[in-house]
Amino acid sequence: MFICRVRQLSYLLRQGVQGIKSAGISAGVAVVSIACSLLLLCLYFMAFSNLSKALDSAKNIQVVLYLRDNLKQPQISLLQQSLAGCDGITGIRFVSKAAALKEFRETLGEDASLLDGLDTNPLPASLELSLSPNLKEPDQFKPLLQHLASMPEVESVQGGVEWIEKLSNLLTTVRLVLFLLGTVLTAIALFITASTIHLTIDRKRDEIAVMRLVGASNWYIRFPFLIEGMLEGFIGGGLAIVTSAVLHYAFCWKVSPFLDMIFGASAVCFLEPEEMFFILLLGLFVGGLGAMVSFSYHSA
Amino acid sequence: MESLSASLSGIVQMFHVSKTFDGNCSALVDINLRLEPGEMVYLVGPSGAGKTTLMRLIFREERVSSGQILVQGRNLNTMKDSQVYQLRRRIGVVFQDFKLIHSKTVFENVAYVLQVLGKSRSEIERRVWNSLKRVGLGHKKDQYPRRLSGGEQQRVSIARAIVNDPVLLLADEPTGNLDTDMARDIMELFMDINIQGTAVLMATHNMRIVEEMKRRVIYLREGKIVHL
Repeated sequence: MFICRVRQLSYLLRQGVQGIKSAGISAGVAVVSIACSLLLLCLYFMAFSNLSKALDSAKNIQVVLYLRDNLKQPQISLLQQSLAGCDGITGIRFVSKAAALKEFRETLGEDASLLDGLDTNPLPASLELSLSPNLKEPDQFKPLLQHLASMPEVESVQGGVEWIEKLSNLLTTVRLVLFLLGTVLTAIALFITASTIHLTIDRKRDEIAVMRLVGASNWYIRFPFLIEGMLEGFIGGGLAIVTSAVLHYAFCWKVSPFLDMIFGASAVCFLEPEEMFFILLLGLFVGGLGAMVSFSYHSA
Repeated sequence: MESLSASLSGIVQMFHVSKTFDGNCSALVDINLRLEPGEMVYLVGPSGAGKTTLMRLIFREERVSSGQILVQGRNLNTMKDSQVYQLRRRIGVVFQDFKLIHSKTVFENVAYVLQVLGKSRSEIERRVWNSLKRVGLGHKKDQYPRRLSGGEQQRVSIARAIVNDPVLLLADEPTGNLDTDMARDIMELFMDINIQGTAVLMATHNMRIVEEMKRRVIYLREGKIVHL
């Protein structure tokens, strides 16, 4: 009995592969449409993981508290002590007015002589704070920053907070847009696969009638179409991964150096193995579901 | 055990079977019929008498409107749609229009029945070869149906119907598209199959051949059995 089943399965698998060959262009259209929708999903994964990475590295930027000019050393020490007790602050470095001017001179380099004309040191003393990496979202560190800004000793707060917020918003928008596009295109791919299989079923209508006549079960008749749809989906998934690899290569070659210059970001990373596996699985699922939908429609 | 049960109950039994299409068009009216194992019966009558409908009821292509049909003791009324394929694996069916798969060769057409059952390659080859030899088409196994004459296509259809040693062979106007000589050959082929032990129910309107063959005849007119 088991051997019979294995023989049947192997025969049906061959029939499924033959089905793709005989479907020709219509199978090609289904593969490309599945590839297009899954390509968007690949881009979604890549954009999401890279933007998340950029967001994480951006959070390493220190928050700087500029202090009021009239503060005495004991007040500053007291402030440092109270900040050390705050959740989310992992490091504090005091930069005096003199040290700030010295650092600024070093930054200006050859143009440092411009500062010689100053009568007084205009730079404020500051505290450079390192925030905990556990604070991932703007919503988490915003209350802390508001608390810091409200302190009487603090003149102003500066850090990469605004652009972290912008990046986070961008990430949410990109995630939403790509997800919606991916969903719409997956639905289109499903529809096109179903239509392709439907054409094949229509072409084989007489053959299916004979199959029923000689005692083929419903599943025996469906299985080659299911295999055909799943194979189309799998090939579409593979094509999407290859295309996204090409796009990734082109992006790294042409655009990534500029990003490095602007953001100091590390190299743009490609899909993780589990993401590629997921894309291939989704291709199989979309193709298989398309075939089943089509067959159910045909049977009805 | 199954054959014993079949011999007790008959291969096919119909009890007060009626079939109505679209609610008011009666194709069959109160049919009572019994077909014994190994028997050969001709079903004759004019076009529209209900011969094809009766055949279609036996292999559950149609459902009865009222009455009961038993095939090898199994009630077709209570059989689920998902079990119909099991019934069809025990019945061979031959049609007037052959119903061959034109994208497959003669060998593949006949082998398909055995592939459905998951038989081994060697068994398929042996049984298909024997079946094709029985119908005299061993030399044409690699040809496609379209390249064969009508009589040859019908022989392929018969080879496919008998390749799994069915207990019952249904033939719906198998000689309808053939000339007299070919029709006689095909009839003799059915006789030969019957002699080997397979019950045959054949619908035909060729009364001359039926009279020559000297077998039980059921006459249908306007959906009713007129002479038994």
